[in-house]
Amino acid sequence: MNIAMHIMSIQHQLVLAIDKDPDLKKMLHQFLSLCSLSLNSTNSHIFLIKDNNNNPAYQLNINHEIQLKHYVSFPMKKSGLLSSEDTKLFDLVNQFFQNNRDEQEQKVSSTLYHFFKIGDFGVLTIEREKSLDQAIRNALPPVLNKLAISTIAAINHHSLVIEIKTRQRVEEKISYQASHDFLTGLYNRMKIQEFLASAIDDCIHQEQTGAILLINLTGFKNINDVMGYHVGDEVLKQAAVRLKVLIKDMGIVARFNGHEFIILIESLSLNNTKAQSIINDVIADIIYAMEIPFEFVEGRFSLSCFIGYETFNNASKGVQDILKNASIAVYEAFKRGKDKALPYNEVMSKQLNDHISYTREIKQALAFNEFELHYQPQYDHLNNMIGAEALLRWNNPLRGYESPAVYIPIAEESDLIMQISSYVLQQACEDIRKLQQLPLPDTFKQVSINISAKQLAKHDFADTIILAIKKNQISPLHLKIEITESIMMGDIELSIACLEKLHDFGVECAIDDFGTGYSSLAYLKRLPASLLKIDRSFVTDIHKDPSNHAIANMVIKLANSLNMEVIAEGVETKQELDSLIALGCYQYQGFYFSRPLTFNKLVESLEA
Amino acid sequence: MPTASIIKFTDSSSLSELNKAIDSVIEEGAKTVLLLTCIDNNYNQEKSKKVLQQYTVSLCGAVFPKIIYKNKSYSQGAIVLGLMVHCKVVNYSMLADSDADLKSYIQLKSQQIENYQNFIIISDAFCNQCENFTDHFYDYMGSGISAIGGGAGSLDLLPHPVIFTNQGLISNATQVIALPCPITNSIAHGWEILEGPYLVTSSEGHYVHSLNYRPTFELYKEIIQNKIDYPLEDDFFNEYAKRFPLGIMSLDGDILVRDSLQTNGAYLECVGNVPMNSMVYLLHSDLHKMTLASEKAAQEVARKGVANTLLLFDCVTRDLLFGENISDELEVIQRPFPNTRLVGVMALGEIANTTNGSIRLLNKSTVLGSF
Repeated sequence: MNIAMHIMSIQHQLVLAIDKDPDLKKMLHQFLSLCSLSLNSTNSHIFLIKDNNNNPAYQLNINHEIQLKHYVSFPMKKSGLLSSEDTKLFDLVNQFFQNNRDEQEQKVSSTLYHFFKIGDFGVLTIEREKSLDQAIRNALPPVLNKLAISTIAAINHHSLVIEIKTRQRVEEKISYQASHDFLTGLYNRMKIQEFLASAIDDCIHQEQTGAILLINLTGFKNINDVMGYHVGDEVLKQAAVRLKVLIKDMGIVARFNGHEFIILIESLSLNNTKAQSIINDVIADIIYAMEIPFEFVEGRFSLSCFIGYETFNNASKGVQDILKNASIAVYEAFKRGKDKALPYNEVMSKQLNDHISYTREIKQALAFNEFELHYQPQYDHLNNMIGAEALLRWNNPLRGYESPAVYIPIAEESDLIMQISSYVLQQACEDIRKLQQLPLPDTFKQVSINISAKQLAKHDFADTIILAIKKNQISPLHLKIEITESIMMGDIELSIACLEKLHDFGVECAIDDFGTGYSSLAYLKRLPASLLKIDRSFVTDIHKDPSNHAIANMVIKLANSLNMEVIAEGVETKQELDSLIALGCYQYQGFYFSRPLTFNKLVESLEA
Repeated sequence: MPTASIIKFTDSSSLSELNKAIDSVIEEGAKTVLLLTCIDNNYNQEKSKKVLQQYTVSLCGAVFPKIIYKNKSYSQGAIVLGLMVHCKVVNYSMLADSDADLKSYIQLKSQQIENYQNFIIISDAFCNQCENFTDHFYDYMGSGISAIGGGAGSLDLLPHPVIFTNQGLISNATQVIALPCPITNSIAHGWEILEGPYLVTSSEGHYVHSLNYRPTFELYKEIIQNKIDYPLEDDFFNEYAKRFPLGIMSLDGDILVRDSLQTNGAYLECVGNVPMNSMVYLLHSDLHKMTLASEKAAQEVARKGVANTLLLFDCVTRDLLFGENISDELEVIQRPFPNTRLVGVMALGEIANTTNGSIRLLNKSTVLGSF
């Protein structure tokens, strides 16, 4: 009676652990803990089949030899050794599993093992001081059948949980990627638009003001070009962190585009003065944060930024209007240069529209051949014409001649400058060819054309010039190119290589506007340039402006030391000429000698 | 081979005597100091903190209902055991309610002693996680370890700061003293089956709600009533519970005694867990049987080797049952060790390895260790 009751007690105690926890490890651990209590085991273990990911499994793969792996033990160790690392136990369990018996007692050294199959995918091992009574052993299979069923259910549960978690992770990842910028981890442009839409509603209902600040990092392109995109990416990441740190929970920071960030600030007062005061503080903080040099292994980089912003507190402006206005404001700030941050106003839109229509007019001018080349003759101190600089003129049918100072910067913002440059090169070559057919004076050397930064940055720049020379059958000695110091700021090595190629071909190079760009003297020495042009700003009143006199003197001396010729631009008076002669400059260009002439007038002048 | 510990005994309840004894054992070269003191000493919390904080040598031990020195028990006084080996003392004080948290906490804290195999475990008896602690501790440390210990505190069933640390006395904690030398241990109780078995048909931790599908208290009273010739009074429980504990029979015939502490008229609350679906018996004993059992345990320890230090954790309820005759039991325990002074405590629950090696919380038992 007592034995029967004891067996029943053991069965029921063990069964209590089964199904208690859907977590397989916890359930089996609890089961083994009860084995210790009710079967008086010293150690007990469960070994299971495991899949390739080391997760427990219950389906046999018939193509492979099955080997059970340790899953859980109670207690975890035996005489200090982890049961999961007990190779003898591992071998014994697998030997038992390979035979066809459901249970087995085996004594190895001083340890008595009882092995029991759990379904056809696991083994329960009980270590005891004494042998288990046969009646108890006979009572265990029903318990183990139940354990097998629950183990399968727990494995399925586990697989399901893993699948759900995996799906959740994937969904979270997709959702994250859809709303975040992959590089900086900030919200992306799409997400900030959603936030902005909701912020507009909030501001209307809660009678508050919101603001969008668009931040454009200036000087960033140089880092990408010179140091590579990996450094550029790091700069963007650091900039993102700085913005997040300073904004904290005051607003939302997002990456808008390339090197543009955007900040949405809500909950500002409807009172303009108060709102503006907070915006000003934020702007000051952003400018300060962006101007702290960015430190990398590759070096230390300084950037600055321009900020355009727009505020909102009613439904008059939609998401796209606000973003567009902030964008216009940052463009305007960039264009003006002196203000780091500007609020949007409607005048900016008008100016921008004017700008757009002006760009359209330039395109039309190119199509209708409204551009002309005029030539400003260059003279030596003996009044001999030594060359001429080709100057672009736009004969607008409505407005007459337009100043290049107006349309060249606009053309440079787009690829129109390339089309214009192409026209200049072609027209100059055609005119040179005509000049070559004239009996030119010996002193007349060449016609020079101005080269834009975008032209020089092209890999085929030198080839384009050479091709034009060949195509028009002119002497390369009759064409000179003029570059400014500032256009040397891009890929300097590429520029030097192009200029050297042209130099070898026979085309000379002049450095225009010298003294205004503060170019590196080390690079200047490497340029295959033969002429320095003193900028007109240093020539004006040189006879009475000691500062200009000193600079011109320095440029002339520098040219001498580099074995370069020097020419002064913008000479307008006899006194200026005398000063230049006194300083040792013997080539000139300016109204004192001649205004720019049409090609026909230049020819007349040469023939005179 | 460990040398004998330095033993200082005082029957004084004064803190300064304790202080002197600690100074003395440290002066004699003790590397770790085990303090066993009586709850009735009523040490001032702040003053004792000041005393304990002045030592750099590891302090451990606890406050018990009584202490044992040679063949006597004392309800006032202190034993200062200067251990001549460096022991690692770990105090487990963050015994959270969640079992999963408790398990990971114990595993984390036990990493520092995972290479040790011999332990003295002292638990605040009113720390409700004591038994879960021993289960998780054993699970992590593994079979083959040896442990002795017991529950500290007061018979008034109120919580007190009772665990000695270098920071002062703390409560609601379990202390493990890891010894770098082997402990030989033996357990005994002398309780035998009177009636049973009964199937535990409903239980929850310490609470036994029903046996054989009947309210535990109702059945318990009925069984005892059948054993005596006069009707039981309503308040029979306090008198009879200490004489008729429950026992859980293991598969190999060992009995794990479970003392009934109190009842609400339906359930019995025991000192220690009574698992659902286990088989329990009603136990009884007498002084002679209990003495014989203790004698047997002492002889077993003596047979296993030389005892440099003898440490006894005897159940306080045995002291209550023996009364003035407790010396009889202590004498038979001391007898096989003529050259070693017996020291120990009357504990609220004892801790030791059972026959299958697991560490269990025992009741109404004697745990003798030598090292």
